[in-house]
Amino acid sequence: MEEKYIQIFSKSSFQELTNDEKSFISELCSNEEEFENVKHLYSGMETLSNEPFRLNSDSVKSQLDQEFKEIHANEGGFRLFSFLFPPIKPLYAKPGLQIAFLLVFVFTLYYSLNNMTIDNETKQLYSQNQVEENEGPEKPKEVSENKAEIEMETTSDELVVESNSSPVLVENDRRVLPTEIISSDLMAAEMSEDVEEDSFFDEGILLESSSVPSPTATAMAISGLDRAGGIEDKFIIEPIGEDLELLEDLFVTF
Amino acid sequence: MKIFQKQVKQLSDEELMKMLSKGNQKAFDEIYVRYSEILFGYFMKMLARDKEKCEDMVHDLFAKIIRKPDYFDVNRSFRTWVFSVACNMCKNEYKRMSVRKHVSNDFEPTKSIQSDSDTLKKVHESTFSDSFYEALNSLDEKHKSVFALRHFEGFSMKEIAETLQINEGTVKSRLFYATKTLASELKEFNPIYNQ
Repeated sequence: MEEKYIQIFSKSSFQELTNDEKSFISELCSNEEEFENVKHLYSGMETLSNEPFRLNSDSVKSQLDQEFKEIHANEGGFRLFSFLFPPIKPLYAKPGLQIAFLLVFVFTLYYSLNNMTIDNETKQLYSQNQVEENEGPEKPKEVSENKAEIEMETTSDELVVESNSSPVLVENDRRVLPTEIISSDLMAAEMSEDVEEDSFFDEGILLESSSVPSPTATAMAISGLDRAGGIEDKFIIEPIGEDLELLEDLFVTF
Repeated sequence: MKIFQKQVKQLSDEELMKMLSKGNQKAFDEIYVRYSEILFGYFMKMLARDKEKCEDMVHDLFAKIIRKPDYFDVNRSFRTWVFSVACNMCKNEYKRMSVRKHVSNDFEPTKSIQSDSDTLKKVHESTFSDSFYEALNSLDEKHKSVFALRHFEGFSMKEIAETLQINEGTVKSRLFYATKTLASELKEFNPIYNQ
């Protein structure tokens, strides 16, 4: 195609062109004026193409050789080093230094965070230890005191049980339980009609006979008053005795 | 050594690039010898014959080849690849120049319109070469690159299409447009019209 163009434009004038040649170049030049212009341009460009452009090759080539050596010189065992610290790149753009800065940042961040947590933990541990040191020696004492009390109570209860050997006093075995539970048991025992009736009606008889303890005495024994200081003779509720007026309100007539 | 040099000279551009990527200095030297002058001439024509800038462009292009030889696809022609890189560098340079031009226009005082007599005087004084490159640089980049590749580097339509990654029809239409424009701008030099 190019050779055909050259042949066409080598002709002297537009009139010499055949119809096929004119149609072939119609896209480029449609009339004689345009044909002459293009022809002149091509002839002028033939002189231009011979115009030399001389590159100052030495300075450019020496710079390029230096770069080539810097990149490829360390290809033996130091490829990683040359990758991390390429000589051409500026200092801040060297991957090795960038990685080093990143690692320093990460480690400082990690250790700073870690130290913060360690401080808190040590503080917590230190405070816990102080609390344990303060409370530690007392607790065993309390425990030992409680144990001693419990032992004392159990021994006293055993003594009571042994001395009285009453079916009512079997409940005293549970006195090791807390007082609330005991009081609830006592309430249950009091709510039972048999015991109450017996306690009310046989009280006079029971009081007289020293061998069988009265319910009030049992109650006193349960509530621990006998332990308080030997006040076995005192009653919480006054005994009815012969004063029957106290019983007036208790009887309901239908 | 001479035998090795002969061997290097006999190798194709693509084979040399393979050796260059492995760090062969001789291959790089041969590539430089083959293309430095050609590329410098191309840059000179494309960048208004600014010699220092064109030397820098040649340096930058070969530095790219040294640093990133893997960017070159061995299955492709090195000639079209290296000129496509050069074209892209020219495009970027035009963008920079246009930015500078816009910025500088804000501060430069308005120039007085040249009279017809001045224009005629300038036309007569200047050589065809100066006018031609001036007219060439007045073209936009896509037409200029097609024209330069075709007429200065001797690329075929197919090679231009491959270099610029456009189809051959587009190459042809751009080439015709550039030729017509240049021919009409340089018609003052035609002896027919000067008579």
